[in-house]
Amino acid sequence: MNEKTSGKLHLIDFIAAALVLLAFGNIIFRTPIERSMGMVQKVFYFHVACAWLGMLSFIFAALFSASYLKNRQIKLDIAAESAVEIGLVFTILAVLSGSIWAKPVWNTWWTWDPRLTTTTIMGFIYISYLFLRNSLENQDKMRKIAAVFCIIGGLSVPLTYFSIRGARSIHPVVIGSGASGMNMTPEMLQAMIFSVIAFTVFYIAVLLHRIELGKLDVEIEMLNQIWQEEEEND
Amino acid sequence: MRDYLKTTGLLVWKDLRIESRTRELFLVMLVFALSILFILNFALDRNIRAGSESASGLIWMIVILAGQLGLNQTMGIEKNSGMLEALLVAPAHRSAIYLGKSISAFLSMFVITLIIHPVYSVLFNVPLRSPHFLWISLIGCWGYASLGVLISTMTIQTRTRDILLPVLFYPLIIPLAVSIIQASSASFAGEPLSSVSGAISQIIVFDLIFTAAGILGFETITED
Repeated sequence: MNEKTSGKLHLIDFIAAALVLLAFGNIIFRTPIERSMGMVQKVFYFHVACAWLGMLSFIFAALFSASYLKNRQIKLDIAAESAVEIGLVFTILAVLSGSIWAKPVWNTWWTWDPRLTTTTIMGFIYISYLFLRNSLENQDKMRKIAAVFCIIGGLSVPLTYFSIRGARSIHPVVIGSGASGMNMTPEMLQAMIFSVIAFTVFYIAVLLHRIELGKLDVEIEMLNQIWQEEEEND
Repeated sequence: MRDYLKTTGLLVWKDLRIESRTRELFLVMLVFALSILFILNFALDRNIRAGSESASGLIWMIVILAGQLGLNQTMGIEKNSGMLEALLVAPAHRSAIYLGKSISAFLSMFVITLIIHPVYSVLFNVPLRSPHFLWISLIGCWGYASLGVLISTMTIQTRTRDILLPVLFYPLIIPLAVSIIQASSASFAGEPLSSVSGAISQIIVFDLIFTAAGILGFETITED
């Protein structure tokens, strides 16, 4: 990594850390305590951000994979793998934070709601993407197969949602109004939007670091190969 | 185009001939499916109501599990005998190979479905007469085979091939399974197909998307 890239990454890190701290302060001290749910409602601000980033990350992964198949640049494959790894962490956090919120509010840790189910199935698909990568030895082949699988996974997620959306849903509708709307106060809405923005910047910072790490991995692999070839020649 | 169809047809014919001589695949799938059917009887504790109400889900669960054995074997026979490489260097379009394999996998799965359906009806004493079930099975089995062959082509190239196939494949076919079960339930209940047009459309969309993905992606995942 050159100094210019390193400097840019440090700047993004600093902005991300400041925004996430501000979001925490805003959620803890400024947002009102919801009348019926109490303190547990504050989980919602993190939950929405995590769910959004999980989804965004998998869309990025599919786009990076499609670009890899078109251009065959290793950095695009590294970006796809990085997006899947980070997206999985946010997806797991979204499901866990949703469960923590649901237990006191819905009186259950889990319900077969279309959004919960789709998010969890999405997690399974991308965990298996990582399994697939790990079990292929030929790096070039692994990159091509993983890219195709990532695109297939991306196609399957909306189909899963549409196939089970007919099921009864008790999940609140965050965007939109009506009977199932969240009926948020302006402070709550501002805190949610700010939290989503802060975590998105944090996500971009982590993604860029992970891509740099992936590039270093490839470099080490190549140096290893050169070293082994030289050893054999000697 | 004629050569393309001829290649596809020849590949299907080759698989059918191998199967007719070795009987390695179909009988194994059938015995496996029947074994699950018997286990289900005890799992449901001879509860006729549960067996009747969940017939569609249980029949498809059996077919999905048995179909996985077929998928392992469909590409596995080529890999084991080194024939996959020979097929890939043959002057044939790769997507014709994919279609040929998908048709072979589809045929074994479809026949298993047609056998399990009446056997379930007899063993659980549930009347499951439905003329629409044939059409639902036809499009459902094609969706399963078209995506299954693509995924099994990926997994046969891995170290942990047989273990990895269900882990990769099952989360992807959930939308297909949900729609087939919904459509079959309605057909067993004697409802017209128009009442489940949403589910039927979803199966067709699934078939089209993953057949296209297979035709386009097969070359990429098999190229060296």
